Amino acid sequence: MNASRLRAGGMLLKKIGSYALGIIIESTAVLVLSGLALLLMFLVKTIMK
Amino acid sequence: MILKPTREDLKLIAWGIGRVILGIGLIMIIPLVVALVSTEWNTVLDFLVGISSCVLFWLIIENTCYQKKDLSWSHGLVVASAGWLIAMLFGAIPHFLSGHFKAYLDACFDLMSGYTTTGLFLLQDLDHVSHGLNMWRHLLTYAGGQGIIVIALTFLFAGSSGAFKLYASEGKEEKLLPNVIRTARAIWMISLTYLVVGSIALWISLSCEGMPAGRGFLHSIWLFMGAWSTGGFAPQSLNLLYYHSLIIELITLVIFVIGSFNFALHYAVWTGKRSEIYRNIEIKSFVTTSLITTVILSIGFSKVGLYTSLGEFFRKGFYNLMSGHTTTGNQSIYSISFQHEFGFIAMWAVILAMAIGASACSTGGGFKGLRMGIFSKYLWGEIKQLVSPESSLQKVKIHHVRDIWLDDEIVKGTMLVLISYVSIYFIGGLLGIIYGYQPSVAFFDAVSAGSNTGLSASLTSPSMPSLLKVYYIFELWAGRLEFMSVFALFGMIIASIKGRRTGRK
Amino acid sequence: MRKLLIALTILFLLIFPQVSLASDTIPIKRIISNMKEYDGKIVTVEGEAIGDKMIRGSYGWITVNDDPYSIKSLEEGGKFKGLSNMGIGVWAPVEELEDITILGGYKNKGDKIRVRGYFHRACHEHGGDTDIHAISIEKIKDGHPFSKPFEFWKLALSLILFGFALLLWKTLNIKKSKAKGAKKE
Repeated sequence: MNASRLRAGGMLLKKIGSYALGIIIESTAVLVLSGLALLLMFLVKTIMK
Repeated sequence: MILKPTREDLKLIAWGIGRVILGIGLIMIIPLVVALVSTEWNTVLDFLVGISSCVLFWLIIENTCYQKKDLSWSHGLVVASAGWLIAMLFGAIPHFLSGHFKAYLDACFDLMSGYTTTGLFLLQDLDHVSHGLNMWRHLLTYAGGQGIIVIALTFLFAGSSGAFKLYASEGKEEKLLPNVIRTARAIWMISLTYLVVGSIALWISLSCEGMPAGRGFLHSIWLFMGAWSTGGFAPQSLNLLYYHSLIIELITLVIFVIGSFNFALHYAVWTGKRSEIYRNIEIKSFVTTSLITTVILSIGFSKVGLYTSLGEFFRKGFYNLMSGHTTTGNQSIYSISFQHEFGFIAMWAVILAMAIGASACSTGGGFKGLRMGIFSKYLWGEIKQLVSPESSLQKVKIHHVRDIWLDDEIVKGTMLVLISYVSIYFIGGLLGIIYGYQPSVAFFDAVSAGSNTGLSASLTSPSMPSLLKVYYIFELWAGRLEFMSVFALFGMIIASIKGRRTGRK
Repeated sequence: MRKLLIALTILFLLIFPQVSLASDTIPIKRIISNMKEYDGKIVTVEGEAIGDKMIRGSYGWITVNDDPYSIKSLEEGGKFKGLSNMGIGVWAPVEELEDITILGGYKNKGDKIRVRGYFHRACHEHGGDTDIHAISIEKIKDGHPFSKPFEFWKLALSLILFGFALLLWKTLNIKKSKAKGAKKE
């Protein structure tokens, strides 16, 4: 009984961890895109000056 | 031959719609509670009237139209398209009763704009609106983002095998899981998780930026819902400019870009297929078009010379551009600034971004990244075919969760939808010009409506011509449903008129 | 002679009301539509303080609206004007903001204030925001809560609708139980 409950708890934790990692990956992706855009904007700005 | 729909068909469709309206009535309970807690008694009454009307409608339908048969494909399509229209009529009740709309048409416009996650509004005196109504405005855009049908599926259609047909007819063809009810629940799980995480992040930031905790809490939920659903509503008339805050802009930026991703992508990334984040064709397409439009915008900004620092380029340029590209419509400038301060080049960069739009099976609108990806891959394949020896056959493959070979069927479907979008943008722009608006402004708002974005160059206002309002409502609706359901509804209407002659019984 | 002077003054007032009243407040809409013209200049705007006061260190933000709804909101029975709100963010030292206590919203008409300050088309200090940096803020009129009568007709309407719904619910249940009974037979 206890073992199965523990296993279920472990599974849940693993699931939450996986989702959390998913959120972090997606947020990072957006920040990377923003960084790229900043770089491009900087380049255009300096070239156009 | 066009078959005339039978009485049974119509009853079945009505039954489906009844369920959808019941769903609308049920979600009105949330703003009702908010109004109760905020002691806004008249707003409480507005929602009571709304809920009772929805329940009454459902019961009438349930009493008269109950059928044992299951929904077929064409039924599903018609339930979705007609269901959205009727949901608009019922959802607009609390809006209209609030006394902030001059006409019922205006209230309907706001409703459709909310459901379709657009964000244009005709509501007057927004800064004196109750918490309850604000909750409803944002909640319906959040709910509309998941799809009204998805909501109905989650709670009200359990077990029916017609469920997938309904689901797919709302512009969402992808199943995250083999079972459609479980797919609908997975979509909710993703959205609710982000709701909690995003709102907390916004709440903390708003508190740091000097907002009182109570209002900060409500604003954080509303801002999240507006951004995540790529709706673009905000509780104050100045929209994001109201907050004067880099951190709020940054968080909402992250939320609406993630919100514009495909639900299948979220699910893949969350459950272990992490590489999908850079392999997926929609991400590739989105990044490419984002960066191209960023370059165009930067050239425009540099020429005008109003915004000088990199920070200003980011907060006024990139933010509004991404808001357009993800078809959100949150803006950190005045509407009129698009016309007066952005300059011609930057303004058209935003129009281009809006027209392309977000990902398929997301909360966003526009052509969609998937279609842009398919279109460009196909074009590239055709060019390669032209220059390679006759005997060699070029096959083109795209990666979207799994590898898919492009065939004529897929390309044909894609082209049909692309052409439909271009047509509604074009007609909308033309109508605006006929009414005497400047071409750039007319196209800006027409594309914004058709792609369900919600940025406005100040054409959309309560005093705009009624015909334009009606046409915009059509644009919102057709654009969000990606045309197929709309075609099905028109087909059925034509069939019920023309089909009579065939004498089918 | 005096009479003539008074008559002339009245005539002057009638012909040039804006000049003679020496009122230098500018409608926000005019500023926003002609940002270039007012950029960097001192302007005076007058209107309702709305929403929230957001204090950040020794300064803070307040939003001022001067559209027709700031004079008479729809919530206090104002007429439809066919437009949206028009306001602007004001950046001011905390001391200037202390006087403002009632902020406009669903329940309140906000304090009426007069703001004098520098207008920025794209403020370099605030990431390109369009704003006013206040030199002085003066409260002209206290805000007040709106008095709203309870709308009994809406209550009655919802009760009637619910009544009908209840009736239909009952008939639906009777139908269902009959159908079940028929099946059993």
